[in-house]
Amino acid sequence: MRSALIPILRREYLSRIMTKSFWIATAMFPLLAVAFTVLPPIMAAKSKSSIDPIVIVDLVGDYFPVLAGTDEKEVEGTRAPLQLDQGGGEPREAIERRLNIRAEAGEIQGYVIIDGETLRSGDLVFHARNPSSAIGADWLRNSLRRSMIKYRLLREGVAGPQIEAAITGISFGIEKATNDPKKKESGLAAFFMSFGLVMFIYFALILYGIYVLRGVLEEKSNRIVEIMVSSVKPFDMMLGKILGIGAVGLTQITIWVLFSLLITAPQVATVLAISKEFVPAVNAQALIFFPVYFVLGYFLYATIYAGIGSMFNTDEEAQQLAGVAQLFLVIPMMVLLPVIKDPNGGLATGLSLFPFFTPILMYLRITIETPPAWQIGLSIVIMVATILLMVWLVSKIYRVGILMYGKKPTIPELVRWLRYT
Amino acid sequence: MTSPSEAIRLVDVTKRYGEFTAVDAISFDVSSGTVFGLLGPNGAGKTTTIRMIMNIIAPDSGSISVLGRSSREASAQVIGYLPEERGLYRRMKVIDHVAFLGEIKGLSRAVARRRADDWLERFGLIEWRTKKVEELSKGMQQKLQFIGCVIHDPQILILDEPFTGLDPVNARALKDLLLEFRQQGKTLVISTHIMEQAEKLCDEIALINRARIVLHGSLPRIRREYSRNRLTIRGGGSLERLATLEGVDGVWHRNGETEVELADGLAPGEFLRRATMVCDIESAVPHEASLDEIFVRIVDPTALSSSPIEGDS
Repeated sequence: MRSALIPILRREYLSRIMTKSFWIATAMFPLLAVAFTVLPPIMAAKSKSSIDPIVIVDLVGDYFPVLAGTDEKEVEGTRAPLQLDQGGGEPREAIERRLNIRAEAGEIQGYVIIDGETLRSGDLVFHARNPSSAIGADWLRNSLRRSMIKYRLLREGVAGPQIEAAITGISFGIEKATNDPKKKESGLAAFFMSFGLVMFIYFALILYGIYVLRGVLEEKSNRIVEIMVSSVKPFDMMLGKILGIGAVGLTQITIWVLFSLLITAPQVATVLAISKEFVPAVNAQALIFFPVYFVLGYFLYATIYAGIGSMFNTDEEAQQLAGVAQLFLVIPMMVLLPVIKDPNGGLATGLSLFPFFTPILMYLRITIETPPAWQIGLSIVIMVATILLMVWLVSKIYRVGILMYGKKPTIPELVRWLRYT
Repeated sequence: MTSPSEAIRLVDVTKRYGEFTAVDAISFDVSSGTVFGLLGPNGAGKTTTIRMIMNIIAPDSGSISVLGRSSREASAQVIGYLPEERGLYRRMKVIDHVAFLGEIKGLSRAVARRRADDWLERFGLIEWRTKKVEELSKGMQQKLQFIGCVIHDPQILILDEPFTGLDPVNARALKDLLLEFRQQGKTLVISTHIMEQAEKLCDEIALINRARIVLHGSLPRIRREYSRNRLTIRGGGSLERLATLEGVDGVWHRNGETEVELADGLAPGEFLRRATMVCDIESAVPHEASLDEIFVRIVDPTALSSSPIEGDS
């Protein structure tokens, strides 16, 4: 009878892969991801305000060339063209009135007035058309600050090269304290990458769990279970469904991974060409343990969702208990920050060894700071044991539940189902 | 082929759900090559019994054997089962679905697809083979379910209320097909609460009521037994007065006819001689008890006692 598992698994897999909705959902995810990550900068770059010029009113007369000569490499950010305005002998109020009109007409982003007083005090004001989104304010601030220091030193008679040497940029980076050079990745990029993977596990476990729940409910509501259980063991039905939908999930994830490799390959190549330091943004353990905890988590939650599906007849009824199962995924998401702050503390260690939290929390800990090997091993052993226990328990509920129509079971009834042989 | 004479044998089979006893110490045999009717009112325990034969649920006590083997090893491969609650995967293609039903019964993929095509051809569904199941009419879907039940060429067919929802043409076609299966030597178990169908098809029956077997055996013998000492009488005058005659156990009026049950030892000739003295008798024939009548008489005796005019003996 074991052979029935294969056709069931194949049916579960193909009947989902061969639907339009599968491909639409598969395509939507990267499209949305692209939309949210790539589009905003593009839109920002394309937006008019960023290319509108900024007027520098140089009332000192010889400041602008110093500003224009600021080393491009020294300041990051999208630059807007700078326009020189020498004031034309007008009083300051008249200049401001004139430029305010131009700003309100949308011709310029704004203006900065430099006179002897501002040079002395250093109190610069950017009169911006849209102060709240003054794009480029960062580079403008840096450029102005550097050029003013340079200008002041020049006036004091310091030689150009000496000034350059003095004001060369000072930056502040963050790096992991380790003697393993491979692990000295840039902290922030690694964090976002890990965080993304943890979020992915969270969403994937819910998504595919609900698939399993729906699948069981559908079989119950269209009464196909009657035909199925006469031919195959309920256990095979359950296992076939869990494996089939798991295969659907892996297919989807594989498509996404290939897709993202494809579209990011040119950028990765460019980055590699510039500098090798950027490369491993995420540590190797994070990549190795991703499939491990995803698969373990999937089996645990898919089994639970299959059991819930077997107990009820409609989505609405099942939703309540499904919500409870989902809570076990939400709770770890709520303690992400404390765990990130102290990944090897008591709270993090304890919670990450609780099997229902393990896929998210232990994985999170691995991505941040590798926990002791024994803890990783123990978490896997506990999870496997829990999965086996759940499969045993749920299969008992499942074989009775799928044949029960009508009212929702009560707790005592469920306990009785467990005792049926 | 040396198959045992009993295709299915149940001995003291009991199944309880908590306090509720769904099947209570049931025993019966289904002889090979016969059409066996598992009869009883709704909720009597027929479906539970069938599910235990199919090894979908396990009995609390008692034993079930199918073709001489424990039902735990045998059921799915040798039995084709058409459940009462019927369903299909609505979004699968017809050919894929039928082949899938064959595959889960242990057929190889290639064989399952070939047989699926043969059966679709036979049921006139071949031009629908690449359509989705949900596009088919209800009658066509029932045909698919039936194909699913016979595609692995089982020795035994168990059909739970097979005629439900069929129009007269399809019901007739199904009946012919079932008789053809019997000709091939297959054993058929038909569960139904509609007695007329059982009457036309069955060689043997078991009647289940309130979790127990209340009647079991060959249909002609049972009918003979229940027809014994009974006469159907047509006539005029006051037929009610028949009840007053000595040796008459009961009188019923049904559909313009009057039925009389005679006490043991009262010969029909003697009864008629006495009867003609109290009323006009046009005809008197030995009563042929219908299964329906037997069923009602056993399952709900009160339904009958309301209509008869009791004898005063």
